[in-house]
Amino acid sequence: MKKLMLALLCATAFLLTGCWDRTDIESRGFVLGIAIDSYPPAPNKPEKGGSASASSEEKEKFEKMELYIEPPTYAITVQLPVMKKAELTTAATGSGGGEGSKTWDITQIGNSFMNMNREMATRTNLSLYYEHLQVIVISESVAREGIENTMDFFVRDPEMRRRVKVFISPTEAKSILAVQPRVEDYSSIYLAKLPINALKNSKIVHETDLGKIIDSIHGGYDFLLPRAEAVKDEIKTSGAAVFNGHIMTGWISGIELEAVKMMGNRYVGGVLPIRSPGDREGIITMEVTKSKSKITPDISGDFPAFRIEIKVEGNYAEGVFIHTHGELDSRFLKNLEDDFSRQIEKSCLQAAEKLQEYRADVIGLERILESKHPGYWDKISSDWDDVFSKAKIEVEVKVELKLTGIVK
Amino acid sequence: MADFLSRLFGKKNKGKEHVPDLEHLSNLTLSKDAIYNIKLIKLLMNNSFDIKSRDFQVCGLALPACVVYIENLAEESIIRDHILKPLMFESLPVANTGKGSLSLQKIKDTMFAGGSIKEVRFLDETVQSIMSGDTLLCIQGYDTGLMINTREHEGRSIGESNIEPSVKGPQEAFVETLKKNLGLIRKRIRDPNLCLELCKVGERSKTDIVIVSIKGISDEDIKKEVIKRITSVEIDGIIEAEQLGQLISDNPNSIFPLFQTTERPDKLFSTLMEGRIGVFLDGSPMVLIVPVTLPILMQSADDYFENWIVASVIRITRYIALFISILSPSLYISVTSFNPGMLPTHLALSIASTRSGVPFPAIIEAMLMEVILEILQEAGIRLPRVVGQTVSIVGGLVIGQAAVQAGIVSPIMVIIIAVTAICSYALPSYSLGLATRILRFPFMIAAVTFGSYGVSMGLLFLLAYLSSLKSFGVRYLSSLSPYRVSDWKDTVIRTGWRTMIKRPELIQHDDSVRETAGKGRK
Amino acid sequence: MKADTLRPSQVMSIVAIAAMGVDLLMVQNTMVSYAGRDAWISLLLGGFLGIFFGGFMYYLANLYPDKDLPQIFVEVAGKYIGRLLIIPLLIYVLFHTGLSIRIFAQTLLMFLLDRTPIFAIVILMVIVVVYTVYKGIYTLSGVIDIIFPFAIVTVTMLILLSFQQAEFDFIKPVLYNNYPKVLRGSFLGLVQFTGFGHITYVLCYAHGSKISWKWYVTGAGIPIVLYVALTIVTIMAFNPMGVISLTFPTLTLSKSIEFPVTFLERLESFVAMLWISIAFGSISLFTFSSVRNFVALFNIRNEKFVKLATVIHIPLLTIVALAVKSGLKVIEYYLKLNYVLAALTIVIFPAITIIAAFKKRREGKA
Repeated sequence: MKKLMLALLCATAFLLTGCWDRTDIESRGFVLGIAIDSYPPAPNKPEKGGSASASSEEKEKFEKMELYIEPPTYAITVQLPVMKKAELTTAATGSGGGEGSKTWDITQIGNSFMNMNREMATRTNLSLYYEHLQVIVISESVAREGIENTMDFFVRDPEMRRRVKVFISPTEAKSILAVQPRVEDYSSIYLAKLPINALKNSKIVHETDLGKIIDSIHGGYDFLLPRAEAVKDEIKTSGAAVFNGHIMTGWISGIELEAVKMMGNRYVGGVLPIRSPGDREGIITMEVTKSKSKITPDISGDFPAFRIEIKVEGNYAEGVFIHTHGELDSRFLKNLEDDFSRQIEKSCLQAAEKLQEYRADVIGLERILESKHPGYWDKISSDWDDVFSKAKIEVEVKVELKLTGIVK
Repeated sequence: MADFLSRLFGKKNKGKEHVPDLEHLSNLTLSKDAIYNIKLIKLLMNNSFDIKSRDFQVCGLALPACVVYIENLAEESIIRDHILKPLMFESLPVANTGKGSLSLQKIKDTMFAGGSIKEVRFLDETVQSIMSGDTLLCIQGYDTGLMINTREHEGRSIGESNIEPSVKGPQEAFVETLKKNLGLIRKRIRDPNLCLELCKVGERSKTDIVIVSIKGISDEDIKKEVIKRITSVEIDGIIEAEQLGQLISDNPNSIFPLFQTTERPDKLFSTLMEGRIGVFLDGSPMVLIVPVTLPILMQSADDYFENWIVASVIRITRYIALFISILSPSLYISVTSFNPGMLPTHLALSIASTRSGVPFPAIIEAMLMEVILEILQEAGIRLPRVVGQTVSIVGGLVIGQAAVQAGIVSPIMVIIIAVTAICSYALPSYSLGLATRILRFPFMIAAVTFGSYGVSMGLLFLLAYLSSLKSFGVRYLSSLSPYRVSDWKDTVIRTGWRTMIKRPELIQHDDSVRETAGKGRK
Repeated sequence: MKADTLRPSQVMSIVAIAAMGVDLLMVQNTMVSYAGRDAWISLLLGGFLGIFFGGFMYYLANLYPDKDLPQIFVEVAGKYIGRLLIIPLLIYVLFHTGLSIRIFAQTLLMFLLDRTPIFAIVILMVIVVVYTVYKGIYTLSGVIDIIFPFAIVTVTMLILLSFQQAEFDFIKPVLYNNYPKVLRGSFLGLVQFTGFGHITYVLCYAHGSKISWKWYVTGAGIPIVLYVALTIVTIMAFNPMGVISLTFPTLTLSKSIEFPVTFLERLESFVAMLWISIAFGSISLFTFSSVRNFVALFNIRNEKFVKLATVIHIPLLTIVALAVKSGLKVIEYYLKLNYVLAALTIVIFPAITIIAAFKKRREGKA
């Protein structure tokens, strides 16, 4: 009898329930990328193309229709894949490819991101779904104002994934999503996969996960975000935007980024070419396999001094325009190593100077100081930015060439 | 079934004459009048036409005697050569030279060359034996009859196993004849401790049931329980071992098999060696094995004939198949309709694009295909061999490819259904496969109401249910839970024979070491 | 046929699973919010305290090998005082269970289901839990035995995979200017391991087999090690301030793991699924204890009424789970409930144990 009752209860539980959360996969709009621009667009940027046709004007009217709070400050663009197109490519019927875009970019203007997101629901037949979000591209103008409030929605919403990659664009962020890549169908996925190449090239920031950034903002640490620039069918990421707190303070170039990564012990791979010692025309390239840095703070002076020892291991990867053959003896290698060391040291110091100018400690010196001298840190932590900009940074690099390839 | 029973019992309902209740016969004995005895017996059997009797004179002397047998059960050549011939002709010298008169004892001792012969006094046992194919010899003047074994063992000869084929193992399979089956198992185990115990089940059919166990290895308590449950079965007649299994199982409502059936002697052999108990049923080619656990149902005979590493990998594959066959449609529903975030992005996009033309939600799509699959399977079993081609063409082409091209289902769904079906066939136990087929539907309902939460809760519920099941006092999930580390050597994996020194712990043994394997180590 | 009994290994898995439960998702947040970057030390100390107080209970249960905790209360403190003492225990267990279910449902609502009414989530959980408890302790322990290895493997895997994004600097400096908080935090750590008390509820079912101290300590040690490791790795991955800002750091941790194989990219869904079963195991055990409390309080002997007491937990737990309207309040109450537990653990249990020990000794002399 009781069993029966139990079974009955089970049955009613199922019957009473509907399918509240059921949304079929094809009726979801998978948001792949988001671009955040400021509104109105920065005046010095010329509108893309003079042919602002009537339809695009009408569209703009849509974009800012019925706002709760005036004036709008942000313009957000989401990228949705167009499913029918995707089917065509899988069906391999040949002629389908070219015409039309494979994505649908919707732009909305407003203040609150949640609000803008829901406002888009008035313009699409799909329910927007963020769990497959790949990238967020933020324009420089927004980043200079600070990204903490921009990021809030993306962190609070459990649908968001922490592995979303964040990029900073010096131009309009929307234009980066508008790229139509060659191999990949969607520009967002294309862009999101770029940081993998940080193993090959050190000009790319690879720690660009949304989650990491949020942690840094919460923890009060400074951080870097990769810079992304676009042409019609390509996106290039090289160099980085430097953030002090959550406010962007400036750019560093790819080469400076390389040095910063080496100092901050974040180097994962790349190459380094220099002029061959003793041969002004030759260029020798080292493939860096390993780079370890060790930072020792010294707090005896007014301002702390940091001694950064970097140990670089690499292979002799290539030599071009080398006129003198058969010189790969130990003395030559020693010279080469010294040259490399000097070069890295120089760029490190240059980069550090720039960071001090931006007052952004993206190397992570504060953590070192905090863990090694907690008492001292307590005293200076409140004006660390000042202290950092005046701190003395010394760099010592030791390069070791391990292999010379399969030719002598 | 009704037809079969009526054939079995002869035309017992013919005529208005009251059928004497066999229960009340236990006190009736044979009389000294042979002719009367024959009449009485015939009457008890409702004068069926196939009851044959023959009157004759022993040794040509004035000692009337009579044999009674059932034409279709007894072998007439035996009656002719071994009963009538010696009694009528060859006994003459014996009768002449012998001292004193011809007695029943003397006839029994000197005139029969046949093996089994038994004296009977009571009518009920007499009728029983005749019904089993024995022949009754009544001699005028004696109230004791002689029951001579003339049972004919016609039937299928021992053939290959069809239901549980094996690649490398012995190919013999049990048949419908009890005697042959018992021979098959005696042949393999020459241990005097191999106990065979006879019971009869069925108020009317009186089917022979033999309980096989090895004394010292099997748990006597379980054996007693088996006998107790078998003797307390109340049923008119019984045909199949499965039927008996359901009658004596701990939980008849369970969709999971709480007993194991096999038609392979080698399988029975190894289960007996583990201390479990086999139950033979006359007329059934399947042997019932109790107790059983889920891990045991996942073992197949071939596991033991292969190298242990290969066998273990195959067995793990089988467990994966078990999960896939239960869960894949429900996971498909929960992932596509509830949490597409669980999929890698590219996969999610490609599923979405293949589904974009399908008019039904995932649940309807899945239910539709599942039901069609079930119908196809049923059709495949029932259909005559001649039209077998049709079903495969219609099933494979029309329902698979055409349905996708017509835009009724998505290609992914077809893959899911195909994988599900194949996985349920990969299970070694057919009954377990049936259980998984049924389980898919509640899981799909759980998935469509609660998504992956529903599936997880469904799994936990299933787990609780499985763990509450018992088969003759042995927990259904034994050795998986609670842990019996020593039994794990033959659970999800199978380790080498040299490491499997001990018999499974789930049954209490007096003798817990496998002799042959253990000797190498000691 | 053998009579059912709990094997020693089952006692281990019961103690371990009971201690994990819903807290698995929030433990780092609770601890770090209080004790900062040294939270893991508090947790470790708390764990040792837990084993210590659990030891009292283990000893107590061994004194009365065929009685469970509320029955021992009655036995030791007499019919009336004993029952009076059961009441706080009963309230604690019942509310802990109900609120755990609520928090569980809230989390699911956030991560897996958006629009499903919370009632439906709660009732489904409660029904499956009560069904399992209804089938008896041996069924329950069987389920937990299956969950246990998966739970351990998943959490361990999560910890190991998270190390790739951990930065060692975040937990340094260790114990700088933080002693008082760490020490006080150890009591907070202690209440994370309330499940250890289940030893007194299940030990009486392990008749015959000798449950050694070793199995209990192993069972208790596993969640301590996992929790401490999880807390350390979370702090190292998110930095202390980051952990404070995350309501469910464990899920976030699993969300942020970068894994090269595309299929395992969505590790968080596996973790979430596993967590459902861990929570289920823990909640079932607490429900079982709650049923035993009811049985002892009302002195139920008839098997039929025991089953009734089990079934009555369906409405009871649902009501407790849904009584509080605000989601934030629930977590607050859940944490406040720990004071009841602290009183129970620190005052009542040792007292009962001491009285029981004296009683036994006197009996032994007489």
